[in-house]
Amino acid sequence: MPGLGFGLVTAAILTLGSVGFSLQFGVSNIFNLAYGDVMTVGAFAAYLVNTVGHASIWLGMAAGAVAGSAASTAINTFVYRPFLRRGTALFAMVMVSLAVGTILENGIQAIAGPSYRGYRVTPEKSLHLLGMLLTARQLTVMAIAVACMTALHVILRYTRIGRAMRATAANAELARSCGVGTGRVTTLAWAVSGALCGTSGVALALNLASFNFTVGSSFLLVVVASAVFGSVGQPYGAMAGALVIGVASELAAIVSPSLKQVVAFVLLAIILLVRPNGLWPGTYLQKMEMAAR
Amino acid sequence: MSSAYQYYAITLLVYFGVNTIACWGLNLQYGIAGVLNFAFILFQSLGAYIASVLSLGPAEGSTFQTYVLGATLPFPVPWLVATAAGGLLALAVAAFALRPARRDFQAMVMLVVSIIAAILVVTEPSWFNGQRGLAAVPKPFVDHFSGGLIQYGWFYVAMTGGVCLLVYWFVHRMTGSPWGLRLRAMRENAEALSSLGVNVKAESVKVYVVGGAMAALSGAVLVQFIGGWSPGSWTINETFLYFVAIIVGGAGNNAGVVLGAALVLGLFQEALRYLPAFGYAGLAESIQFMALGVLILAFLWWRPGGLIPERRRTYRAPRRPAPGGPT
Repeated sequence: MPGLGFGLVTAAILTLGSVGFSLQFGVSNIFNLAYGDVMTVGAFAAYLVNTVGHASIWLGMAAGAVAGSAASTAINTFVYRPFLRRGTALFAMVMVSLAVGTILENGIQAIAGPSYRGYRVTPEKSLHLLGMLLTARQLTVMAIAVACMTALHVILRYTRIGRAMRATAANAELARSCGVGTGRVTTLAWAVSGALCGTSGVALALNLASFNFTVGSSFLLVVVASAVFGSVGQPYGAMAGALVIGVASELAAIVSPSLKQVVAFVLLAIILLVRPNGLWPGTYLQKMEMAAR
Repeated sequence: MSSAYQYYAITLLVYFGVNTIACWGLNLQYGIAGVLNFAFILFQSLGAYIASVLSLGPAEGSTFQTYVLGATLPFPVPWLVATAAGGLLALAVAAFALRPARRDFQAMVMLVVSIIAAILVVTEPSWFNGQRGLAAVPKPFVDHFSGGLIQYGWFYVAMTGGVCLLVYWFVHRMTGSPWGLRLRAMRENAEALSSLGVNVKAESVKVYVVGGAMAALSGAVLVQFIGGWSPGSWTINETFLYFVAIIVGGAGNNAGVVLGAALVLGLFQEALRYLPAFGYAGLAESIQFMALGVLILAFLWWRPGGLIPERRRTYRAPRRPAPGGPT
């Protein structure tokens, strides 16, 4: 079952990405189309540390997480929040995020050029594991994804700040009137989700072996598909969506590589027909009321 | 004017007309109804495809390309069928894209739909001739012109202008009608509108269909001028450009949209041709797209209404003196 192995790796990358996307949407109600390009920022930050700084790729991944976190927080603080304060409608915010993404993507292209590049890593042998073929690096990526998800679960469920985040996501106004500093909580959520975004960007570039400035934006739709699959704004739903879409698309790729994306989107289509608001709607209907204002 | 300049002017004018029609369609959706159709270019390319195959003749007769639905229909029919096909595709897509309740969710589904369509076209060459597209699409009435390409070109400009006038009359009527009022109400507050008993989803479907039909018509007009259809020229970037044009010109204002189409899709795009080449191939485009992104942000920040903002509409209740009261 080599397909299952690839599927689990893709699912791990996808989980990091779509959970971050969902978290941003949850606290800020913004469909952030610049998300894929922040992934690219992470991938290139890791590239700098890895090839120019001659450090290990895992140090590069940490740098990617920091860069993603910084970029995300900056975009939210300096672009999205001022626009929201100015009263820009939510459907126009999608255009704002699209513009930010376009600027980022083309900015990276202007600086780095269109050529493909790869990380400096030593080639390694595949290990046979439960019938799957995986390299140690792929296993590490999966372990990092599991660790990140566990940490996020602990933060969201058992800490004060996690509770504040969930409260802000469920009803920001009510949370504010209960004394939650929603501004700070939102900034923190963007920092955390940006770190997840940067990490997944590095993991994606590592898994693809070669990448250029389109690496994140071309993956964005699959990230969005798994986030919508599991109801956007629901980190746990996004995990489930990532697992299903990641594994299914890699299994389909065995039949025909061009099927890979089609299968992801067909799955999304089916879930939308059966459950229009995703797998795990939860607080979704409350968010509808928020969006109407 | 030398014939080269004349031909350049003809090309610019036809493109301007086509872009204007498309922008009016997208404006009806984004500017007036507030729905985000990220698959907009899909409808334009469908219209172009339908108009091509309906004038190319049966596919069996062709030695170098494969396509479906081949026929040779007299002139206005391919354009009309293309328009109808755009509306039908919009109906099919909307039935599915409008399932989620939130508008930005719906926008994502449209984005996904356009990506799937692009993948299918390229990976299934037997349907749409794959990456190679279509070539040698016949031009209407070209046999009647002995004066050569330039004379025919001006005729085509006049034809495009005629279609523009017709479409303008239509969108002008639509935006001023009670339906237009309903659409603007939906943009401002869909929840409040549905509390008044209006079926918001049905209105969204209608505006998708009308806008999709207009996009398809613009594609049909374009394809019979350039004579070829290639899947590579209908990407998400083109949709993005249309959005920039509408936001710059004035979302919700049909006249503003014309200005936006002229400035962004005409002037801004053409200016790039006259810049000296610099850097590697693609650098100029990436800087151009960065500039477009900045343009969107600048306009949404300083002039969210665009260059010619939407006219403020006020509705007054008719004054009627109360019966028996002072007159």
